[in-house]
Amino acid sequence: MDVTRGVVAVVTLIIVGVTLLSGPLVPGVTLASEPEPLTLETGTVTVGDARLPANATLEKGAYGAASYYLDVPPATVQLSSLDGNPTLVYRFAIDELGYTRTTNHFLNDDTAETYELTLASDTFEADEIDRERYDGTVSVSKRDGEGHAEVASRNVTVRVIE
Amino acid sequence: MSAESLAVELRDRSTVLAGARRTAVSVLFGDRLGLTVFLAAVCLFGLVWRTTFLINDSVTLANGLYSLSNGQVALLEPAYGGTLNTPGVNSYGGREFARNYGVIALSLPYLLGLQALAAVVELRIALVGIWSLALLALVVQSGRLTDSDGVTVGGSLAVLGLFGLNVALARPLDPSAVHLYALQLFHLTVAAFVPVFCYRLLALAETRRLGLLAAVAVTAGTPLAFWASVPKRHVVTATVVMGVAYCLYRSRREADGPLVSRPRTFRALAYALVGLYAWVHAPEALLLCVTLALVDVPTAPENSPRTLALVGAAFLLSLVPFVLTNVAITGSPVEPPRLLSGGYSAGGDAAAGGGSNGGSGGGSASGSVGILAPLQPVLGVVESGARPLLILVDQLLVGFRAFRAEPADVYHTFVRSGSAQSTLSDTDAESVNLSLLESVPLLAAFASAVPALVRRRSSLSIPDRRLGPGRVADLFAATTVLGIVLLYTSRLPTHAQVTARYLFPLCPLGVYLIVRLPPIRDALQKHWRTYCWTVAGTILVGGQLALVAVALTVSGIGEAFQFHALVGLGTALPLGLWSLRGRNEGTAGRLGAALLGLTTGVTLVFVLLTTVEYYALGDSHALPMMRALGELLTLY
Repeated sequence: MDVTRGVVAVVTLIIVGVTLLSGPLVPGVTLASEPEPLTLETGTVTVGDARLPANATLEKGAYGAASYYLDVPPATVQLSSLDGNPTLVYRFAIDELGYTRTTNHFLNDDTAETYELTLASDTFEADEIDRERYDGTVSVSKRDGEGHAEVASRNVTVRVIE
Repeated sequence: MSAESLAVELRDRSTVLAGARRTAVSVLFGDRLGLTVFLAAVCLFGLVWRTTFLINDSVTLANGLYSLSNGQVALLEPAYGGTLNTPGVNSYGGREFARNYGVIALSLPYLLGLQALAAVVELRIALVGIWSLALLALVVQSGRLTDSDGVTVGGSLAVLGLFGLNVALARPLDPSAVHLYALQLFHLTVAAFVPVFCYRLLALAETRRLGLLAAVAVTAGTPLAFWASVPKRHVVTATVVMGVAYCLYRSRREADGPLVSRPRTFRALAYALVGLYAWVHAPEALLLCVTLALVDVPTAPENSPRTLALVGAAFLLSLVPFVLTNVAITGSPVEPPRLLSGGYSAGGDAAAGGGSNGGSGGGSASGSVGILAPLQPVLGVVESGARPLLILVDQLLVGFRAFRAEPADVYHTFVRSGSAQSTLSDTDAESVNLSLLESVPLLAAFASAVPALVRRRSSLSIPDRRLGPGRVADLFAATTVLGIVLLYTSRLPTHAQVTARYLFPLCPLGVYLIVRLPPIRDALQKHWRTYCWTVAGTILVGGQLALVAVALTVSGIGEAFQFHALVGLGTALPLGLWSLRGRNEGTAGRLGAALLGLTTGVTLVFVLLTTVEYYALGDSHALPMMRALGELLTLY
């Protein structure tokens, strides 16, 4: 029983002690710190090969949900060189609807040679959709220390699935 | 002083302290198991706490607390949200006021505590430390209950590990939003008393085991954890109704606890709770007051003038903060309390109304002249007191008519939300406002009332003249359920209700009533192991399956919510069918316990995924390990 009490007392003391360490009472100790801010769009990236999808879908919500959900398959790129923290931008647009969506991908030293760019999903309200098919475009561009440049682009067919 | 007398004095003091501690535990939680329930709920709520705004109604409260802590009832400046034009802010005499002043005032001690902590330690580490100490207390209590040193030692080391993990992942917490955190902590504490009251009430009315199971059901099987840290009144209402039901129960039997020696004190306490709640939300308090009086007075063992005077005095005393606040807002003690008289005329969004934007009720006795003139002030009070009652009756009738006038809305509120326009989110038209049954499939067990009542009718020949304590509590719970349903049905569904939050008090009341129904009670009492294992299995295994299903098939928050909605309905249906049949012998009873466990677990899985992923609110979790989990998980 005494050992048990001892363990509880020690754990309590550690929790209270460490908490006290975190404040101005003990200068020089930082227990909670913000992550290092990344300096984005630095270094360089060279994209060797980029494979973009040819089709995308606008599908009526599953499980009885309202709205149409946009699904653009990911683009796959081969990075032939990479240093610093460049950004790759995956962009999708349906000009007829005046719609554009982009997703930024921040690269770093850990990024593998083959990289998959995804596009965050989005929804369209039912009354925005009045056709079975739309023409869209997808593109990949890079932003690094050398500036902004388009890497690849392609026309896609957007099918509406009820 | 000799060493000996010092030792004696120290021993005396420690005996007094231990006695005081025992009394405190007994008064607040009933017994050690009640304290354990409280600690477990607090730890769960801490796990899903996100330190930001879920709905902008809470901005009003945060600005209210900011102003009140600076000595002003009127809103000073928009410290939060950048504008004072937030839901629930009302203008009076050229100044803006918040609402729910009760919760704002009662959050002040939390604010002072947090400000003191922020002065000496990093706020994030402090929250991690408090959560870890609560978890440690839970471990120690569990060790005592199971009489196992292994639980205590192993659990303590696990707590230390979690504390270390959280500290390692910690990022600073912005101390300037401390008013929001204070409000959240206050609501979280109040919410943790919902399972405590469920436990205490059912431990008395049935058995301690059923009390504990009901506490599990209400904590895991309802969206309590989701709303616990949201500064909205819903969890406060839930705590108050359960507290009133508990007091009502205690008022009908011999007093056997500490401090209170006469049952009628509990009667007074029940009314005092309602009066105090008027300080938070007057219209609902009025409903509760009417319900309580309707159930209490006819069923009371005695209504002697002395008892009624005590009850009335307690009620009037509990209304003092509410009246004082009204006086501070209207600036005149003669003018009738604006919050009371205007309670129901909050245009448009009356369901969310703090009730202070109605017309003025002043000078209402102008019609009485001549011989009645000296009585004018008294008549004024009577008239301004009667008006809210009339409005309440009118509201309940409107709710009654809604069942016939708007059956589709009623269906979307109680059964299936789906893609109905009225249930969609205001901002992005996503299907994120679930119906009551979709978010709390456990309530399908209400169907058990049918066989229970049929059997009761055939077995009872002479109705009991005096109702026992359990029946009185049942009656209050059932009447309150009816009142809340009628009060809100005509206004629902509405946007930003997520889990039909206006109806949230139905959850604890429902759990209580379900456990009181003989088929459910017997199934749980006999097969409690099956129930507990099914809850655990649904959360641990079912939770992972849900995670995979959402990751593979869902591409947005609306689909995710509707996935959980269908899972909820899919589990509610078999539970409802089983409950309707009302058989609980042998395998049938085990099946029932399993279905109850399944519906309980399904809701907690929904709440956990919602707080970690769907409404992660920028991964603003109070606990760093939950933030890290949220960052790690990307389901769509």
